[in-house]
Amino acid sequence: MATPTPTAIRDGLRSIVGDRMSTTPPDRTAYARDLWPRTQLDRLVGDPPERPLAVVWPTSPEEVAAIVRLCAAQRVPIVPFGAGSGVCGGARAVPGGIVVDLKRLKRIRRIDRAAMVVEVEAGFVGERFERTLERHGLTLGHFPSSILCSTVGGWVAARSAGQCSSRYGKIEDMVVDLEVVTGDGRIRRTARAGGLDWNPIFTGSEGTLGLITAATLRVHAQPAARAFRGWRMPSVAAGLEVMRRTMQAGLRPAVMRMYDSLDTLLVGSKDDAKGGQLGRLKAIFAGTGQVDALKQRATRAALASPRLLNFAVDRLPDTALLVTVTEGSEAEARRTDEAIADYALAVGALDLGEQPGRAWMAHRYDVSYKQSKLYRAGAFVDTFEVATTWDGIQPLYHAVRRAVSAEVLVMAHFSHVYPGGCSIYFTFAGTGRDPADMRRRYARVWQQALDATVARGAAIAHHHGAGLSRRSHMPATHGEAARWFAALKAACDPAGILNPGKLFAPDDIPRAEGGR
Amino acid sequence: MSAWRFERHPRLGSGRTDGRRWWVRPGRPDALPGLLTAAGRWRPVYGPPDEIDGAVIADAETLIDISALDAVRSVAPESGVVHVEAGCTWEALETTLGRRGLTLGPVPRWLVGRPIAETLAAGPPARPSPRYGDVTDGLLALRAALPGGLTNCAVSPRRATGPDFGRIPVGADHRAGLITDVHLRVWPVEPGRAWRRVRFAGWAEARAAALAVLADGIRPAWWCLRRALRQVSLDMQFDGPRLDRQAERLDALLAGFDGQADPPEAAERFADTRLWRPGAGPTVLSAVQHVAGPDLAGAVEGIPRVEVWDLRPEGATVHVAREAAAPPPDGAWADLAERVFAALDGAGEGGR
Ligand SMILES: Cc1cc2nc3c(=O)[nH]c(=O)nc-3n(C[C@H](O)[C@H](O)[C@H](O)COP(=O)(O)OP(=O)(O)OC[C@H]3O[C@@H](n4cnc5c(N)ncnc54)[C@H](O)[C@@H]3O)c2cc1C
Repeated sequence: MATPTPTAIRDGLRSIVGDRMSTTPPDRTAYARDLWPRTQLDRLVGDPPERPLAVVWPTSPEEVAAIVRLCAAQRVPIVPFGAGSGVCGGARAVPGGIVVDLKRLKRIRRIDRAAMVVEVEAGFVGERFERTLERHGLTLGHFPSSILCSTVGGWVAARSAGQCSSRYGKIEDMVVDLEVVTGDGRIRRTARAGGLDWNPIFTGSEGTLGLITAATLRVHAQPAARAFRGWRMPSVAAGLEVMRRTMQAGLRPAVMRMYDSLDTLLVGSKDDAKGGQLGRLKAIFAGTGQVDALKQRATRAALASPRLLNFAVDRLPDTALLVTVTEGSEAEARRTDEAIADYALAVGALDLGEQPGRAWMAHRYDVSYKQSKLYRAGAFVDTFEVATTWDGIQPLYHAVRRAVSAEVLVMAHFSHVYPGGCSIYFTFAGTGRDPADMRRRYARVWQQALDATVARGAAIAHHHGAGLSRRSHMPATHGEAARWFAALKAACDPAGILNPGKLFAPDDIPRAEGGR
Repeated sequence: MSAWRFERHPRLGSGRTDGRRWWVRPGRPDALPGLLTAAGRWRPVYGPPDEIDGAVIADAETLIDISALDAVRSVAPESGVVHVEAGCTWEALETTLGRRGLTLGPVPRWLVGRPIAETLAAGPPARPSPRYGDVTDGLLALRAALPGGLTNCAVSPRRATGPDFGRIPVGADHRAGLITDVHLRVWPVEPGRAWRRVRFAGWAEARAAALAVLADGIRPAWWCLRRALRQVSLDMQFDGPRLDRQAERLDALLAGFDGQADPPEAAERFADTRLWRPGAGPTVLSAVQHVAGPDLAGAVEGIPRVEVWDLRPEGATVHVAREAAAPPPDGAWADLAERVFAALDGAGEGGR
């Protein structure tokens, strides 16, 4: 089949959505990428991401379906786009493809208080959604740090986790039913499905099997009470023990979050960006500090010796700050807080009172959506979240640190706590001789961290998804399950147009044998 | 006398045959991909061929008996994870765990005698427990054999690496591969256990009271709503270290509803007929489960024997003692599922 011309695609799209599309260079540039830090390095190297042919803003599932049918007929790749806050390249444009921005599907279709479910369209932005629910005395209980700049559809597509996942679960635990447009341009609902359980198939599929147009999600009454606390743990191991015992006792705290030694130092540091070293480091990591030329040079020089920095970090006192938030009815919030106190005191922890919990809550969304200032200082920063069972947490933490410590400065916190284990959220920062050298180092760090994670049998992602950044390790993680993906892809996306190249590299998808 | 005789098959190895089909009994999961490749139309079974219902295996060329794949491979008490082969039965697993002070949570008596692979392939079995979750909540990893090899799965409480591949064979009747082994979440056996029974005038009142219990953060280890005489009773079992506090809170909460409390022993006796205890045999309470929406009273209207174990605000799983029509699956989805299965088996063979 002949490659369709951009004009043919544009005319076809226009016949579906009228003016709600764009082929202008600024729009195409804006929609060429998500917040994958690697893209920034690509730009610095002079290798910016490919721009899409067009950007479309449908307002209904029917329009989405018509767009998919058009693209399937012309074999034009589609990248579904929520708010572009993904950090793995999942929404990065595909050569010769279009971007379908779903943010104008933004209605709440139904709030059912008897069933405690809400049906919401995929483009609803998280913070507005939660505010709307709050007005009805409800909460989804899903609070990703990116809540201000991510959508319901993006959460479901990337299997997102909110800060209160220990109580409310990850987004996959909240999904009752999905409305999706599959690659044949049909609008389907998973709740009426037969043959397979489709909710866990589309949840996490990152736009490769269908475009999610609406989700029915479980909601809860707003908690009547909250209790906050901070604990100084005598060691990381002791803190992990408290987290494990709490969850295995069947308790459901909203937040249990523990920082490793370096992260504890930074979180606890009172000095601001103008003052001490720690404050500056903290501000730089967060991308908020003022960075003049002198400080830039100092930062670069420090990061140029990651081995030395990590050596110093390894010699910090092994104490850890554990922040807890419990909520629910007054009785439950108190009960859970008291039970945690029993476990914490038993390991010799020091009660720091309410302040650390309250401070965390007040700053819970203070992450920066702007690119970190480290890039301007000639350095890079990224995060990497993995998960495993309790007996594997410390070995995994040390294995990943060891694997990357010759390349970057690394710190971590432990959060998203479940009865069976938790996630480790690493932050790393490094530099290089020039942008190309930085990009090589960045790639090496990811490779080494993922290798170390796979070698320990742990999950290579807890909530950021796979996109492009982790797809290299999907075969090692899933083995023959890649055949399931191939079969799902052949059935749901026969033309192969839905977010191609994401999750699995094309060469890693075995050929599906049957199909029709 | 059995019509089945031992013979050697050129590709399957040694097995038994009745002249029309073969029965093989692998001892290791990694033998399965090879077997699946050579097996033609296969069907998993759980025991010797003479004991198997003929209708189940009517069109199979090879019966793959996975009853020897029943090892409890490892138990990690700290993580609360057991790794077990899928031919193991639920009560064999619970017995092994019990010796180590661990439990899966309440195991319904109707799962007794049934292997893990069979129940998972038939669909997520109801082991509803507000405190311990259901089986799929506790399924930390699942491996399956496909003709090309074994699937892999990181053992993790949660992950974000694409779709939840470990859920694909659940409910797929082995058409998406043969489940070989699973990692399940297990819990420490709690020091105490308590029961409660409260009777209400109708389903709506009982449902409201039960949901108020959940909303207050109280998590019974097991509960059951059912019609008893002209009323609806709510029976509950609690496990935990702080039962006195839970009970106090529960009683205060239920006092706000128009219910009538029975002695706890009545609930305990009833739980003993429904939940597996060491030495207990199976019950055949529920042939049919179906899923109801929030209008529970409407969903059970006119059905004489019905029990509800899994109750959430958005709906319930209703166990009915006699055959009742389940809603038909959506044709469009069944068709899509068929395309997935076809893509998986290529030649149109494979497990059913
Ligand atoms: C500062 C910051 C903090 C973050 N904190 C968290 C956190 O706490 N927890 C967390 O889980 N994540 C976090 N993230 C990552 C990101 O916000 C999540 O992955 C989020 O789920 C992405 O939502 P989005 O709407 O921006 O999706 P996008 O980035 O637009 O897309 C993500 C993927 O989903 C696909 N997609 C999007 N919408 C649809 C749809 N409707 N149908 C089908 N496919 C679709 C895209 O093609 C892409 O593959 C953070 C990111 C940043 C930048």
